[in-house]
Amino acid sequence: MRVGVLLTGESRERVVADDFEQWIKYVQIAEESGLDSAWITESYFSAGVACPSAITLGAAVAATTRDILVGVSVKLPLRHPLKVCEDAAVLDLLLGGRLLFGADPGVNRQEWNGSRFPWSERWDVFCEALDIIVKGWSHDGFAYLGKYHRLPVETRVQDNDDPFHLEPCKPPHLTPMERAGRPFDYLSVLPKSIQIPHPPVYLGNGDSRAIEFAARYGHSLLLVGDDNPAKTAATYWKELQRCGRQKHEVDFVVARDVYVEADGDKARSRIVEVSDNALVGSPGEVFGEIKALQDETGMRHFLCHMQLPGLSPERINDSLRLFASEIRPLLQM
Amino acid sequence: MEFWLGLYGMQSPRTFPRSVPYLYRAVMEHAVEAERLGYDGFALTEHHFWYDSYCPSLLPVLAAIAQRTKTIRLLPCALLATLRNPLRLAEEIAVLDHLSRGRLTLMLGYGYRSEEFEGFGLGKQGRGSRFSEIIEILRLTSGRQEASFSGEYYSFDGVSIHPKPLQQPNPPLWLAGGGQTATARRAGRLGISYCVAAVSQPFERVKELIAEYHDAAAQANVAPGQVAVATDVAVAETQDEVDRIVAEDLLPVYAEQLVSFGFIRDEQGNPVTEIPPEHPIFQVLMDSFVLGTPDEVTERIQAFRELGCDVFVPRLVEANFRSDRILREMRLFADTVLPRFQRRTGP
Repeated sequence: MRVGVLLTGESRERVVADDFEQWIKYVQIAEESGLDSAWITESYFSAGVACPSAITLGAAVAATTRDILVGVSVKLPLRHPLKVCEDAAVLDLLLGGRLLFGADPGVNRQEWNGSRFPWSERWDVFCEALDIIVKGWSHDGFAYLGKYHRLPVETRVQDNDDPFHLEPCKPPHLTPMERAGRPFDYLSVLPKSIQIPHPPVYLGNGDSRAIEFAARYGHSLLLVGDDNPAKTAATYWKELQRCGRQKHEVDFVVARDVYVEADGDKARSRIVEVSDNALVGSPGEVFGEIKALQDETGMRHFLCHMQLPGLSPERINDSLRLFASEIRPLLQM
Repeated sequence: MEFWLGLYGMQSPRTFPRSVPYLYRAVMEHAVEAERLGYDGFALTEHHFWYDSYCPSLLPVLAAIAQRTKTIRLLPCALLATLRNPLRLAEEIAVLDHLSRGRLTLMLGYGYRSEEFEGFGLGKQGRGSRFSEIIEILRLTSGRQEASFSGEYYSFDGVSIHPKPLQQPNPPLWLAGGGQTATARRAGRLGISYCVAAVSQPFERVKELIAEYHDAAAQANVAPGQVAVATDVAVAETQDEVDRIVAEDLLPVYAEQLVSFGFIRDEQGNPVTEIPPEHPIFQVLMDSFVLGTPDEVTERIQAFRELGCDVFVPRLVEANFRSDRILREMRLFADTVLPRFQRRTGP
């Protein structure tokens, strides 16, 4: 099983720059301790949140690490899919091909403020956006005539059942260089990511539509704050099978609040406010709980979220080091 | 006077193709070297859907550079603001401003290639007034807990941007423009700093544009910001070496870029796909570049200084995409030209 850390971006410091410095250090410790991945999520328009741009923070992490995989979970509502496509490709370049790409439609209406699409259609908007992003990474010269996006806007390509149209090979051919300034019907998103055909895609949500969509396209699942991952897992594995896919094609990630200290009671006494399914205790206790979660869900990748209220950066880093030395070797076996 | 080194677009043109991952490694190395040499800023440039992989995403690259540098200012030059959602932009610049501990200078542009607007499903019409709304939104959201806006292009209600930029109320705001009077005047009216992209602009025209900028600010009764001039630079110890750089690096790349941007049209208005070397455009370009030995280059920049220019943006990169040659020119310029100017900051 892969093991990583998750940064959800609550600001705790007076200056957000200090939060960022601590997180970057934290990811460096995770890398030095042999963890496999570091994931960054984002939220918009909410007080107390330091990071509304996982890709920008991911780029900073790219420059301060060498080997750890870096996951970003991007909210699509307010982003143009082609912008996300470009940004993520550039991030993959900065990471030397270490990007894991997560996408999420957003959890509340507030985040859709400023979007030109209705909240009630968010799933359809999201699925179309993700389709465009993946096509943009892996194809040159395409037009997309979707329900929400018509790209390029002036394309003369005729509509049919399939929104995706690859440029036909029809002479006389103009190279993209020579095409400048002429009306154009197809576009290419460049540069391409290092990973071919594109970075692995994770859906950051356990909603039934997300599961169905992920299974159909062979995307992975990233569960943050899912109260019943066993149920989600069962549906996902079943749905994959129905689509004729194998489990080993995809990744299944579960994140939990985690805090470990050698003395489990001490660990519990330091945690003031925590989610119901947080894993707090001694390495032995926490390992047992992760193992149980794995048996229950078949997860292939576990993420620790350690930035819990009331803990100093030093305690968080100590907890991470202890997790890495005592628990990680047992999980990575 | 300040010097912002640029403009890196991580392009792999036909005349000098490279692997794209190589270009992204090189730009990090160059940024570190620029800081060591005492340049005040490091500038990247943006375009979209471009055959040579021109970088479309400047903020992530600057976020990475911010971690490897300590003092140099970081610039998108220019970030094409009209192609972006302004709320998303406000959030991203705030994140980058914190990641760089307040080193972001926000140089914005309208964009002009139709392909980019159409690609994003937008109209090119009204990009100027769209830009003015974006500036208004950036000023509104950085200063308030909750902001509402209702414009011709953008509207939102009760939105709160977190975090706020580290530099309050905003990182320095700039507008970069080419030869259009309207752009200079808009920057003046908005009370933001103005950068003349002087490529293909005669010196007299640059002078006029700067005057227009100040005039518009005075008319609008706002304090003008700073003024920068950006153009291509080739500097070498001898004139022979300068000629070689121009012939081998600068002109072939420009010939290709002119074709690909579709700047040169035939009588029917169709873009020309092969530009003859005797075409007058090449002389226009050469006249607008700053080419020569350190003494000649210094004199040309001094002339911009006398126009009231606070910043010069030497573009060493367009001329020459080969990493070792750029590094050499960068060092020569830093050793021989930078010391001739009074600087706010030292190396």
